[in-house]
Amino acid sequence: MISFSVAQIIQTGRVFQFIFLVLIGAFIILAYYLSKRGKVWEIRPLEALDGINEHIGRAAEMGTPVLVSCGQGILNAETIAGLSVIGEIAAKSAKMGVKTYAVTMRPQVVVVAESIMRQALTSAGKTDWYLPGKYVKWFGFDWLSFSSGTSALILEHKPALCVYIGTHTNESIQIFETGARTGCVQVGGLGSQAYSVPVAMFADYLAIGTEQYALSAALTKEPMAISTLAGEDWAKVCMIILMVFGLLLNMANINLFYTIMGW
Amino acid sequence: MSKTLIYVRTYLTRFLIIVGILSTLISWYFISPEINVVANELTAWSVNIETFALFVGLLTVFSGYLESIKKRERFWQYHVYSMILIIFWIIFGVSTGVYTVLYQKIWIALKGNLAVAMLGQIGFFCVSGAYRTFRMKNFRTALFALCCVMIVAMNSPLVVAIFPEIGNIVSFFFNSFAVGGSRAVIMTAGLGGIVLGIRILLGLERGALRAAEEAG
Repeated sequence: MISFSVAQIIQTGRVFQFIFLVLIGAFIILAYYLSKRGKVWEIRPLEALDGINEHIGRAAEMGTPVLVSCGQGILNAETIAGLSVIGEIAAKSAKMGVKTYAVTMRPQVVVVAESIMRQALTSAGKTDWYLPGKYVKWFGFDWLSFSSGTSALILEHKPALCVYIGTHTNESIQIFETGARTGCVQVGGLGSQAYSVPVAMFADYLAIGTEQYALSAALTKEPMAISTLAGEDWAKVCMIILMVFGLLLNMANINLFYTIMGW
Repeated sequence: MSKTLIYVRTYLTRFLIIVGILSTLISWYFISPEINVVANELTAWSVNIETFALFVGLLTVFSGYLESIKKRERFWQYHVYSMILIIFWIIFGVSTGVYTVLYQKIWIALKGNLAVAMLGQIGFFCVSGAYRTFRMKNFRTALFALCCVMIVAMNSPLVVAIFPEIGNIVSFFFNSFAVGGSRAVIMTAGLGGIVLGIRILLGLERGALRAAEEAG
């Protein structure tokens, strides 16, 4: 007779993580399924989203471009969120006749950004605008060159809107300050990184925590993409319930949740 | 690009992403030496791809600079200078090795000074940014400014020596509100990252993966 135990299959200490991941996936699939059946999900107003929409229009009126920075991170979740935002903003801006510049420090992100930019311009009917290296700028694999190059780009083109979604560390202060001095409106994403303070200090609009990952879906206003945000909200409710019950049980000297989380 | 090529490109990319994500997730959660081998192999591939991307990045920079020099755009002279420097550093690094004393000395002498100069000006930018952020225009900004003053006070030995209890007050604010807020941001950001990943897998995120839909 073949017998299995959980410890033989799943890594010790990761059982609860795995269950929670499956639960999040199930919530999203359920919300997606309900959306396909006709359920319409509302998205609450996002300050950063309103800022982006409003100031792309301002850029069109002023005849200035828009700048999106993915920051200094490798292809992590924050950078991928930034890349998605590049696609949406580039397509939206191109439809209004506004050019979008994208900057990043990592060469591997440049390759992906070029592909996204090309597709965004194609989808907006501006295929002739695209030239490799024209709108996606890479100034070198180093924070000095990234920060100086981006600042120079801002000074040269004076964009009406600068969006920073990705890992922006303290060294990026030079970029934020240049943006502030040229009078561009700055939208910053506050993510999981510890160095979010400069973004919070310099940005006019903030996308805090989960908002920066939701921005691209919110920009598209596509019901299917927005449905995943509903699933995310259910997962958040689950997390809050877990935290409150865990706290109450802990206060009653019952370590049930600690034990379960340590599986 | 033909429609067939767009479909091949899109679905091949999707397939590679799914294989990459599944192998990484499975090796993280499950005990499977076979999947671990696949995950390690894919990690090695990613290093190779990164190296290739660096080369592509260099080509992008060169093509941009050459274009600028040909059209005599603004600051084209600096582009000539940059290109000469890049070529010099590549030849120098390949011929002597990047960890030799000579290379490191020149590197630190050039880059070290620039880095310190830039970090120095960041101090002034911080002050300028803080001035704009902490201007007391309403109740919220007044609260911000108060918190800022408290942090400055806590880090000032003279103030702590005169008012020893201020350290406790600031620690209370740090340990209850600041840590709580920062954990909330980290947790929601983590959750947002997972949902973004699922959206990409479901093909709901625009980008290179949605080329097929765009093609119709």
